[in-house]
Amino acid sequence: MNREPGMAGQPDMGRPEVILSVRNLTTRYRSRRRRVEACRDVSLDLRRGEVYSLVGESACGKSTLGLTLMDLLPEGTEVTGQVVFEGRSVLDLEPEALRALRGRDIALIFQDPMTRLDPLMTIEEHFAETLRSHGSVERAEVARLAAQALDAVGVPPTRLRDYPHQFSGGMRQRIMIALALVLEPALLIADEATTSLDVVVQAQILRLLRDLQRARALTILNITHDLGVVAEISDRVGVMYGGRLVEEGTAEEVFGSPAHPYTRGLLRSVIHMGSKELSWIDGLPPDLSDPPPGCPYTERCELAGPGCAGSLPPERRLGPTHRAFCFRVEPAWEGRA
Amino acid sequence: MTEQVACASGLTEPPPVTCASHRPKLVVRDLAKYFPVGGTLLDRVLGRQPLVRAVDGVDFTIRAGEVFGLVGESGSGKTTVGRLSVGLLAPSRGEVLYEGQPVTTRMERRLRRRLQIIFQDPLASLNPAMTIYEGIEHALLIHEPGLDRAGRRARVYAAMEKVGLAPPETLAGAYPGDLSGGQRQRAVIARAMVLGPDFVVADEPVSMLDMSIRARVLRLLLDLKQEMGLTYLFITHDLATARFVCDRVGVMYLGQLVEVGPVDEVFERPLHPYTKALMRAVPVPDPRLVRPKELPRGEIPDAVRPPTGCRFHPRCPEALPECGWEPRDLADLYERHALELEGALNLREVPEARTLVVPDSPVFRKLLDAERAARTPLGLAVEEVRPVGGVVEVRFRDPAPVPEVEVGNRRVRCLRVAG
Amino acid sequence: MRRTWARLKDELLTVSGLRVILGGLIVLFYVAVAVLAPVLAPFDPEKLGVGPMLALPDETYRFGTTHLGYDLFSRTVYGTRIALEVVLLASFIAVLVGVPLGLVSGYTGGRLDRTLVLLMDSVYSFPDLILAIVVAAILGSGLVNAAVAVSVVYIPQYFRVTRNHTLAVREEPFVEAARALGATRPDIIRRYIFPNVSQSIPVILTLNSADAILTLAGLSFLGFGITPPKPFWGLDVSEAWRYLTLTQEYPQVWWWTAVPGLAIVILILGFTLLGEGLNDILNPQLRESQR
Repeated sequence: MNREPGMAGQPDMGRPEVILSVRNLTTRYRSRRRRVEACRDVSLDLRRGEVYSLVGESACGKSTLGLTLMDLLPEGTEVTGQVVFEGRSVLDLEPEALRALRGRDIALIFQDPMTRLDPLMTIEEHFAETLRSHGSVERAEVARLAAQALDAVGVPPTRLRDYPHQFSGGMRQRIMIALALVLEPALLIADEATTSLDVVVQAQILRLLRDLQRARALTILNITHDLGVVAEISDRVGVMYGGRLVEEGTAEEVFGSPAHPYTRGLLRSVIHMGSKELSWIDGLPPDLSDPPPGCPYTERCELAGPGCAGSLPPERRLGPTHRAFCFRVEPAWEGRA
Repeated sequence: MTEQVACASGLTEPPPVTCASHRPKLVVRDLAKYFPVGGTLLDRVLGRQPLVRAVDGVDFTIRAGEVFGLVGESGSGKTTVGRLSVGLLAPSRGEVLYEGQPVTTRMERRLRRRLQIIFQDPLASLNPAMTIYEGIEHALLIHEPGLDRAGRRARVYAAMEKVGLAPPETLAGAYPGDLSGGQRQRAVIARAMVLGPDFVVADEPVSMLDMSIRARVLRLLLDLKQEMGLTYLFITHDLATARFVCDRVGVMYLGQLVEVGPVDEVFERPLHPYTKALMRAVPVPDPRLVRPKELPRGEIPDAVRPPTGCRFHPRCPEALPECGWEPRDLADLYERHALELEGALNLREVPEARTLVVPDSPVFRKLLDAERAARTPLGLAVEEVRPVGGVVEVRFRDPAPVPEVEVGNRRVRCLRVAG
Repeated sequence: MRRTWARLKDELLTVSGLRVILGGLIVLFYVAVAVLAPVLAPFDPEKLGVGPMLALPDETYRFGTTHLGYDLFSRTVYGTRIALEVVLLASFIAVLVGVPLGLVSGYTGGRLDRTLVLLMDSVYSFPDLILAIVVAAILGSGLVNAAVAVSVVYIPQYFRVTRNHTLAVREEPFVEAARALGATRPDIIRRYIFPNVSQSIPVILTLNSADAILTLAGLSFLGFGITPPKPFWGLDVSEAWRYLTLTQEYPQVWWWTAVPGLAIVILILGFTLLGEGLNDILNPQLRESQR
């Protein structure tokens, strides 16, 4: 696991540049006369070459955030805020430019490859479609690039002419990764990409992603609910709850010294091989169609106080890379990030 | 595991019946289940469709009061074993005995009510057209016709309170779609418990729940076990949960049990290479403990034509030449090296046989010779290479039968462990 | 069912909702006309010679008269009665036969299922009208016989849809759970399968009714099922048809063909709109996905 030693505490000069910047992002769905606020005022940065995991349980807004970054939301969704990728504002792009962005600069892989691969097209045809949608490529060139891409993810290139259903689940996910990376994007968004895979295959895919990431200085935004997966591959972690980012830091910081009460509760409730007792968080997640004005975790929080439900909690800095959004956490660091 | 049965002695097989709490509750012998699948129309008509060997010869015993875990990945057959254990499926071979009586798909009511099952997906396990009350009440309507409406209501409410669905009056009229995931799973548990069962199969009871409420439902299951004196068959792919909840555990791979024993021993000192691989692959939620791992190659193969000999041999880092290497493994090897070798040899459809017959080619020979020279298990398993005309015959040695050995208080199905 | 109502209310203002409203209004209009027929129709529709033959429309005879002096308006109005009665009866029979068979066949499987499917598929493969004619010829004329003839055409559809849906629901975990509880087969079909399958029936019912009107009209056009002097649109069109060459001398023939024909078309339109609208609302998985 290639984490830069001493990343925390260094002045900004040592850190790689920001390639994606999200500011005050709020996303509201309209579904059957209800307005669901899936994300509320989320701000974060992604730096080149890092693996950033966005973690949270169901309905916390992490998947919505991923889709918003590529403007892949259904009709009728309201989005306010800014998403700036390599200097360009994603939400303001013309359809042509947006289409070019997707796939070439930012790629997306999902949980279930079978629903994203066309059962009537061979793997080679999938590559042809991807490559051609971003510029004209000759047949021979397509075959060459495709073979290379498959080889890089561990799929025998001899199977280029096979159909998706002829591959196992893990192989299909590898093919998805190959397709996503063939255009050499700068950012890969993985939305629960290993969730439906078996343990051993999951470990293989995670290792593959890390190797690819290191070899190409790829930035990965990994969206997942599995804390084990987060610990395995992440440089930095963002914890979401009720549509809000509640804590962010390096993996060591978030796992080692969690500041937000939700992060603490969540980490305590994870069952791992050494668990000696069971722990959980009482209560239910908030109803996002009627979001409380204050901190969404108030109801279930052991530290909740009188001001918590009234307004959104401020950002508290705990270190150059560590921050939490909580009234009850004392800021521990005054410098600029 | 924090809860221990008072006189548990950690044996794999029960001792002769001395202590009442060591009575065997469920005995599974040579259990197998095959599902016909696919094939041509002719195959279907003639009744010779290919068979998925979901469960292929499983033996284990569950003692009264214990939590016996069955862990494995998809295709391991653990879910099928669960269904066979409560008589939802009929075995193709072998038997399931509950307190000495056979468990079948046509069991008497008297017996059936004592064996219950909790499924993985709480939403799909509840009838969307029935309220929570009706869903739980149905069990009573079937098994206790003597109860009147008031009696049934009392029982249903009691069951709801026991699982924490309170206040019962409010939630009784709700439909499954109105509840949260955790509440739904509690309803499923209430339905299973209202009849006062004796043996419960829990098939991935918490995998679809959020992390922060999983522990709560597990706690409930463990409390109920104490209160009601239950015995559990706990099926899961999550090793950490299995470790916490189970007393003994069986690891399944492709329809067979590869290792059985007390849970702490199996997970701390795994003997079977597959168990070792599972332990290595499980992601640990602590970034400081992340370390590079040696992972087995490939994925779980097709259950219609499992690998010969030991089913794990193609992926096993500790395989021996006699573990069952066969022509398909050579075809796989060839495919993996195809780009380097730039050959065009179609080894896709490899028939069942110990001898591989392919067109002779320098590319293929080079690969084969390299493998044999390197003395890999695959290479050493090749007995003879015979060029005949334009083809070459590669004959593999026959696999040694895979024994089940007892090591301490564990049972392991492995040639290497057998020594 | 209550989910169905909830969804209906939600979607009333969408395009699908408008279809349901419009279709529903049309059908209701016809129902109203049928109920109020004695009040609305000035003449007895089956009475010969209430007016001159083939007279053009005027104040007394709003749509003119037919070749035997029947008042076309009265006949058209009373026609709604026959249409709705027969179609309702036919649909009733078809549902009562097709749905339970579909449930049992789908859930039980095995030889019973294979036999029934073979039987139903054979009936289904007959062209609708020919099948109806054969049955009507065997049974003879009359309202009830016509209803039975029409119902036979649609029984396979109810069977199929119900069976397919049953096959899907049968695999759901909650059905397995019911079996694990020890529920008997009739129990399971009644409380676990049927309620989860029944939401597809209203849609089929309305769409089939549309088709049934046409089949009935065709049947009577060809002289089967409903025979004169019963007032039914198909009959009128059929008889008017024979006079089509005489339109020069008797321009009334245009009215005679057009009015009953339009009555048929608009009712079918009503049922179809209703059915399509309901289908869109109740089966959202058939809608386009949004990503």
